[in-house]
Amino acid sequence: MDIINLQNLNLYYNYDSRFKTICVCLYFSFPINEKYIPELSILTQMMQKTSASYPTEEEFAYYLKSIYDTSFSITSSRIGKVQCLRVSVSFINPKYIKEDINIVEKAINFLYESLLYPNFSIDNLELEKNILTQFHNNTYNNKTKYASVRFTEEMYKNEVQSINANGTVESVKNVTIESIKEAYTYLINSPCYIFVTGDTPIKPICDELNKYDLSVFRKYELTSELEFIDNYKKDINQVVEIVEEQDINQTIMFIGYRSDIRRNTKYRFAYSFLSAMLGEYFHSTLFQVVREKYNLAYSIGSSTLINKGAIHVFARISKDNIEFAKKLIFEEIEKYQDGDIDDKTFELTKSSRINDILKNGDSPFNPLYDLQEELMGCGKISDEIIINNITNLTKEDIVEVANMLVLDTIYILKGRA
Amino acid sequence: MEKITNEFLQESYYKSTLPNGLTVILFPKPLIKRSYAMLTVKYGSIHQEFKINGSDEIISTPAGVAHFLEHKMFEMPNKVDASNLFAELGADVNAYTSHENTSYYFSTVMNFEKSLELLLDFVQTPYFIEESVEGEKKIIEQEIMSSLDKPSSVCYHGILRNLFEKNKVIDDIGGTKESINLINKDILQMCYNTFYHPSNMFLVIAGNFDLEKTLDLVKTNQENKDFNPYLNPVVINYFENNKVNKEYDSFMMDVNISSVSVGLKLDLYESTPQEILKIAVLFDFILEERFDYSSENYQKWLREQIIDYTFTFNFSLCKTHAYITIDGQAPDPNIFIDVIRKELLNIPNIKFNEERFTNFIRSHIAYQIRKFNSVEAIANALNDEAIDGTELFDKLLALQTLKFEDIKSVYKYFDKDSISSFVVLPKEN
Repeated sequence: MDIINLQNLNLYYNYDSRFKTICVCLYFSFPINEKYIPELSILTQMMQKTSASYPTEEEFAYYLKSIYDTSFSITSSRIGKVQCLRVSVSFINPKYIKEDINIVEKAINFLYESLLYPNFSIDNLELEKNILTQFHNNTYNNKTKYASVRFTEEMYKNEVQSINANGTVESVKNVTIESIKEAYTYLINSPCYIFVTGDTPIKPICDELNKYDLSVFRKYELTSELEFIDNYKKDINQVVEIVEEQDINQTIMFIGYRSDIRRNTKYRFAYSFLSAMLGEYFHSTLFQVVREKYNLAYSIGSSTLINKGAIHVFARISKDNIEFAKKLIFEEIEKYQDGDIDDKTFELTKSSRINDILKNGDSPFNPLYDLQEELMGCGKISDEIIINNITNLTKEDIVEVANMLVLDTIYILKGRA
Repeated sequence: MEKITNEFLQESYYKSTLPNGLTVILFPKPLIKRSYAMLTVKYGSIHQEFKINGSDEIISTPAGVAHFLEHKMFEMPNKVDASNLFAELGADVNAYTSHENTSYYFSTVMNFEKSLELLLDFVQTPYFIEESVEGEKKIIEQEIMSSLDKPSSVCYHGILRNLFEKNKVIDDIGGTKESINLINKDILQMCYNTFYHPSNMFLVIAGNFDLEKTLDLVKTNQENKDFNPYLNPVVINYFENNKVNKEYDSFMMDVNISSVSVGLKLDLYESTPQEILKIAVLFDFILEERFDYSSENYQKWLREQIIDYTFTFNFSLCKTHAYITIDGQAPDPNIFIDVIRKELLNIPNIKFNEERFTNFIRSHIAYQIRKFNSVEAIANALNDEAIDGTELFDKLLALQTLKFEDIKSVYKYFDKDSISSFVVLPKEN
């Protein structure tokens, strides 16, 4: 990947001949700030629907369709205590368009104008506030989401992790045009860099970008003050178990474990691998035992929050099998802690994990993931490094990290039916 | 091998039918790392009644057999689980069942040829034992239960039951708790023998593989297997006219807002696959103009709180049934139904704008081009088109040749007798 200095910003360029689209993105990173949570959620929606040049959603969408369905999007993600926003425009490579519409110029102009000349009308703000309120109220109807939100609220009470990216119904009410403008300033002043990928020489893209004043953006420095890792340690004196009931057919259970492992520790690969062995594949232990051997569930799995050191186990079961399923999950984790690890599961997870990493190579954004790791201050990483680490893992490594697991919270949304 | 090329897109794929009847469709993308292969059986949830070998006897099976078979195919002799064998090779495997077909697929960067052989072998190795069939019922029951807790899923099945009377599309793909309890290993074996024949299957591969070597591998694999003669199943399809079965129905759930689905039943059985492609594009245009988030209507209804952000529309077109649904949550389901119904009936009176039509065509051409960014999207498109009886590039061609005046040809489908609605209402505490 090439690095180009463009008006003091770093532009990372990944030439990739495999795709028929070109993507130009700006990445902003900033600390998660409770003050601006609902504002940023609403702001990104407003900016994806209208701008000063296209003040209604119809006009905004119609223009994008007219330039061969160019997509403009703002996606938000969280890494530890940092929120990252990707503002991107993706358009068809001009070589696949028969008419001469100068799509590169139009798409980049659209990106710049949407970002720097937003439309903060009261009417649009009120509409977005309504939508976000509906979104919150709707959580009750999506039982898996409801259970996940409640589990997160309980397990991470008073921690950054528990801050809902969309705020709360109450906080949405307090959003004003002024607070939206403040949040916008917070976003625009945060460090950023540019990423370009596609089957194109970089010069015409840089020429287009250079038509605009990019000095309004702040350069992302490697010595950034951003805290990507959430090192908060909770004293767990007692496992919290919460049972709620609803008039539903199936019971949803979340089990949360913590550890002191983080992305920047030597245990990171073993920890992610442990979660994969437990419940990320069909051959994984919990799938094989809870679903295949005892036929208790259709869905059972696990996931890791590596920036937080947590592992979550999830299952959808009949209410009659709650205790049995819990017992089986605890027993299997204890077996890991005691060193009773099945050779086959261990080897199958290695090959599956390596295949996943290799498949990532087909994403035009793959070089960016390595770059992000570096920008997070976690050192250089590549597919090769990850594969080597996975290959060299031993069962002892897995036992070691399994013994770092501390059970924290069990949340059960129990069906009455 | 027949080569099918689109010069404009600079893309080609290859087709061949083997002596045993298996159709093989190969789309090499040498610069992509992964390969994606999908083996499809033209047997889905609606194929519940059929005749075989020219007999007049109708064989009836419980709802959910195709889906049950999909689950059980992964179990191989000697307690071997096919998904574990794929994992050993470093490949991901999965499967799904739809109304019309069952597809088994894998993707991998490593051991492509071994994985391909495994795909062919596990789908062509039936192995059903009573004990594991009984165990699977409990798993599938949990799968069914989870969809019964989703208001959108309940609404979807509700509107299908309102629109259709006899067509088997009204049955959930997984069946019901009662219907799966009627399934046993003999039924599974009989349905396997009837439908899982190479003549009723096709294999699609897209990605990084050697064309000749791959075709040879498939040929050799198939030549080394004995297949019973094809039973030539004739499925009893219920082609219904455009009149709905029921105009309205509702169901109560533990939710805090109503979910609504308004459906329009379509009768398109007489059309050829190419005609249907064009009709589909025209419906897409009309639906986008009147119901898409970028439409004037959507913005108005959203502001008036007739709809909310969950509002969406769906157009489904299969050989035996076709329908449109317009769905979403609604503070007042009666207003939602009234507004959408009026809008559907008013479509023949609307003066559509030609410039917007041109723009629509442009954006859909872009959508077709974007498909070629992903081997999964390519393989899935090839799969869908093989089921529909069209070719991969036909849609692009249809888009390039459609005329604005063609819109009028679909006005006749917006008929008051074709509209139905279904509502999920909040249960009172």
